[in-house]
Amino acid sequence: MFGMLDALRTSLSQAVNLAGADRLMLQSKVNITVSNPRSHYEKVKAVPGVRAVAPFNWFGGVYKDSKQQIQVQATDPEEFMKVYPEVHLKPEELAAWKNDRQAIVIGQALADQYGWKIGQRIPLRSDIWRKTDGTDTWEFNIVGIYTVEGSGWDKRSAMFQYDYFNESLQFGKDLVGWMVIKVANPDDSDKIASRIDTMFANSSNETKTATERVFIKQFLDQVGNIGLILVSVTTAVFFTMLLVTANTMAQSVRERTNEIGVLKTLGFSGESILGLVLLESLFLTFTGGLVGLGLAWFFAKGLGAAIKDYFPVFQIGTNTFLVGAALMLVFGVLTGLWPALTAMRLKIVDALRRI
Amino acid sequence: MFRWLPIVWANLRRRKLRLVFTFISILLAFLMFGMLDALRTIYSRAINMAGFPIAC
Repeated sequence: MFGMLDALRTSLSQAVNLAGADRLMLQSKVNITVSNPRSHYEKVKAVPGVRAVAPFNWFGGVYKDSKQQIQVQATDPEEFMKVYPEVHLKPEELAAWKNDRQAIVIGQALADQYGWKIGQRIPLRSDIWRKTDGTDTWEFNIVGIYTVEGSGWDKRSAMFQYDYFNESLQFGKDLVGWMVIKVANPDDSDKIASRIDTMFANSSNETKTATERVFIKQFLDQVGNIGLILVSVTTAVFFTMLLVTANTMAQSVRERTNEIGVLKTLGFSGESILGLVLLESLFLTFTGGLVGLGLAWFFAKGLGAAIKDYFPVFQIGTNTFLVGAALMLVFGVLTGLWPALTAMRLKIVDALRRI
Repeated sequence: MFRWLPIVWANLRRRKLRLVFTFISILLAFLMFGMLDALRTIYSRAINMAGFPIAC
């Protein structure tokens, strides 16, 4: 365990190498939800070696029902197409996106899901933003359906003009959520990233620039690694428990050799002895397991009530109980099987040889 | 099965301290399992709710 965890720690703390990436991702040093002033955008664009910069603002789109969440971003059409060459739009669609203030382009997967077509007018509600007139619903004209070559950009996304977004905002005007920077020469990524971050160092809006890949990996790993760590800890705990219980069972049966001999002399069959020992180990795992899970349920209930504003669903579900019961059965049989078989096969003469 | 329980219980009680320790180790293992599983569930649900545009 120590070795594995230490290897994990080392790999996480290793310095990230930026060189060789042609796209960089800039966000506020605080975290992704903190926006940067628009002036940053202009300054980043002017940095030598930067070919294009796509600004992004998270819109938080809802279509009709709040269960229908859509990833909608406000961006600059021209810069976006430069930064993401793998995203394809027909020339007339791109022209329409640039010319129509209320234009929106959507991914093929999104168009399929909602049956949207080019020319349709759709209302999208924002969870965050409000317009100057006090409403929270923006109207959009679908002007294009994009396709993605490879995996550079999400296929279920929607993008519209930053200007339309910015001019109609009631609050939070002239901010840019995050930026994706295309560099001219991938070998300079390292230098450009540190140059940008130095430029805004000690200002009230410091930035953090890393490769897009690093950013996405960090975002996903937050969860992926947590899952892995939880699973490995649980496995280690169960493995230890298995050793302890198996040892106990083996020892207690060995101690009872004479008694088993007596039981057999009285006429107990080998199978009943097997059943007796297995029942004992199952009894142990089931009582321990049920009390343990019961306590966990009790704690989770208390804890869940305390943190329900942040995590509304902290509870132990039926699924956990079912998996737990299956584990109790498996562990009970596993720990008891070997001693039980030995006890079953034991000959009376051998059992009573030493008294 | 239940008529065997008294003899099983008698066997278990031979060494009370050993019984207690074994019981606690199993109890703790399942307590951990339950709590960690609840934690794993909220993390996976939180991610589904967040819905950040990840380009991948």
